[in-house]
Amino acid sequence: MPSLNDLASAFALLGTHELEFGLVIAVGVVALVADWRIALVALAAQYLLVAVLLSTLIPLQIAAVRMIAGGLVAMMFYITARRVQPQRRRRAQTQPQESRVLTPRAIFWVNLPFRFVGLTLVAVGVIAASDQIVLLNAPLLFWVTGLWLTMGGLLTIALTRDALRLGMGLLFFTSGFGIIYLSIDNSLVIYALLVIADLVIALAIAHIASAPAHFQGKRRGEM
Amino acid sequence: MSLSVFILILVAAALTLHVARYWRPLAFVASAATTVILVWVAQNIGAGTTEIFGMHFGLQPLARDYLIVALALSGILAIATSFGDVRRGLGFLLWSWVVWLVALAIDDFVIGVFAWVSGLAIIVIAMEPRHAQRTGGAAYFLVLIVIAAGLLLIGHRFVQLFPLTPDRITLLDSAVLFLAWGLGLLLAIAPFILWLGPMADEAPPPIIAVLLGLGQPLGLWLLYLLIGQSPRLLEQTDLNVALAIGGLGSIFIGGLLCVFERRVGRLMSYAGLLALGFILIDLARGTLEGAAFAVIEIFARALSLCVMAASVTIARAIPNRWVKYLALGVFLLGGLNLVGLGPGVALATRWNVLLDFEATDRRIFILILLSMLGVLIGLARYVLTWLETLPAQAPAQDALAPTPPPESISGRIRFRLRGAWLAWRARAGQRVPASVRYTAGGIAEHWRALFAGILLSALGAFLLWYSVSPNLWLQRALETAAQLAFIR
Repeated sequence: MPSLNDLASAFALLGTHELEFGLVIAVGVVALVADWRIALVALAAQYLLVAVLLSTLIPLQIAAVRMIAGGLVAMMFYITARRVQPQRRRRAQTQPQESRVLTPRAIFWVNLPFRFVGLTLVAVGVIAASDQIVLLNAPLLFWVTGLWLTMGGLLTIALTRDALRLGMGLLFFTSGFGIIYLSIDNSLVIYALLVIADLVIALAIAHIASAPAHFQGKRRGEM
Repeated sequence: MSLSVFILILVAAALTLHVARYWRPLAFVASAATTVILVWVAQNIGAGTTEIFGMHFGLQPLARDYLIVALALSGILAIATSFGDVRRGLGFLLWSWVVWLVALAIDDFVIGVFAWVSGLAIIVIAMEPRHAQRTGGAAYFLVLIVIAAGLLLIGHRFVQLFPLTPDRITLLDSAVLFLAWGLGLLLAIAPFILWLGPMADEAPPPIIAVLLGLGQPLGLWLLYLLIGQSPRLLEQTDLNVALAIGGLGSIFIGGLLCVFERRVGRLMSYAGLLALGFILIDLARGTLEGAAFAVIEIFARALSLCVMAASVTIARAIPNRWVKYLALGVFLLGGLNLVGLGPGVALATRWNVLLDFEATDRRIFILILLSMLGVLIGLARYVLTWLETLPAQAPAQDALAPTPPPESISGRIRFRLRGAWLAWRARAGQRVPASVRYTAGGIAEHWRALFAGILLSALGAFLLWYSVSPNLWLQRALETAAQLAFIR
């Protein structure tokens, strides 16, 4: 069974460039790829890479807690998605035409080119912002990485109407925020609270994604 | 009694409600019992502080008063919810208090913020998404909770670093910016009100009342905890100006949105936004009287929202017409109290603010009056809608209508057992005098209407008593507000 030292040696193999590249790919996958399984793998990879990055700020044993939390979150999302997807497929097949009209649609046609343009704009924005401002003298590596994850998370939230995908975006946001905050305040209490917050968020998102609909068609003047 | 024991009791109470929700009479009894027990226990919490991991936990007098009122109101909402057919959110009326109690008792801003937003996230679980697997008000509220918590933490970090550069207030200005942004998002202060309507669409009225009336003021409590620890935040920045502007904006926008609203959740939210505006203006004065008036306004807002939510919930659950009319009357009383037109306390605090503006800027005075009129119009429109939906006569249910026996084996066994039980009860009933039998039968048939009527009457009576005893509340608010760190 691999020990923590083996884990440390494996982490040491990953350089800064590999980490950055991995996180760029992870955000790109969640924002661009529609398949929930691939997005879930990207989320899990993001947790792993962020833990490696944070192990340069805090002890490895503590950074590894985030990986464990990430595993739990990914498992929660996987179980929820497995429960929800068959229902969605069945409903799409059996839904009558009128109720399909009632199903909410996005204002814009959020297809792949649209999402790609959005992601490109976010990337340009992150590069420009990290060149111009730094929050409380945060080290550049952590500032850029944190900004990329938070902005990528917000982009995912803005582009999706799927509850699980929104949860993934939210967890990318918290990861980015955690990196930025820990680089300006190396507090283990905050770190622990952020890990707990991730689990609470995942729980709430799993509930929202699996809760039955209460839409009855009435909007105005209902008692 | 120590705080840790109280938290355990709170967890047990929430768990009891969560389990008891499946059977209506049990849910009702459990709600009533837990309300009485929690209020009684909250009154007996020791005044001392406890130290855990270097953090101090203790309830200040104002926090204790707030906790008692909040638990009583949450309990009343639980009782009202227990009358209905859908009781899924029953336990969530108390679950959040487990962490909100930490936010009230702790002297650390960061842990307080985490506890506060955790309670708000728990409330999200009690919401009912309008579309399956789709994002809506509940999901976007969760997003805002996370973003706002991050902004509050960064604002706090700026405050922490300020002593390193005491001659420059740039860090304090940045802190105010982040704190105002974070609190503005979570309190829905204008212009950050966009989440309020969609959230109200997906939350039952009792959840809206707990979230807005009881949960939101904890953010102001944490802000003033931070100000108590770093008084320069108030002395050297424009925080009071930001509060006043946010308060005025909330009053105008809240009043305007109420005019066009006929959905009860949104109406309550926007009317609550108007009341929040007055709270912010009172706080922006930065004086003891301003703080005391803000405290009274916070209590009045919480009470009004809870009364409105309880009456709507009961009216939806109970078919009897007299209960619906009683609920309508109590709803109106709550609405008038929220607008500030109920006699007594709310009227006194509101007119204090209004007379100030009348003397300094008459245009703002008139705009505030128009905003209050907007809420009144919204209330009147909703009441008219309510009256239209009242049935001429409740459909009578034929208790003697035969029901076909079920086909499954377990169903047949249950059918036989129920028949035997009814026959035994009928035989036992023969021995009881007819008048007693008639009264007991009436209570058994209409127990929900009876207890709902009692609850509504008690709420209405309390609201009237509360309104006609302003000196009592003002005196208590002055006493407790004077002990806050930022006033000292």
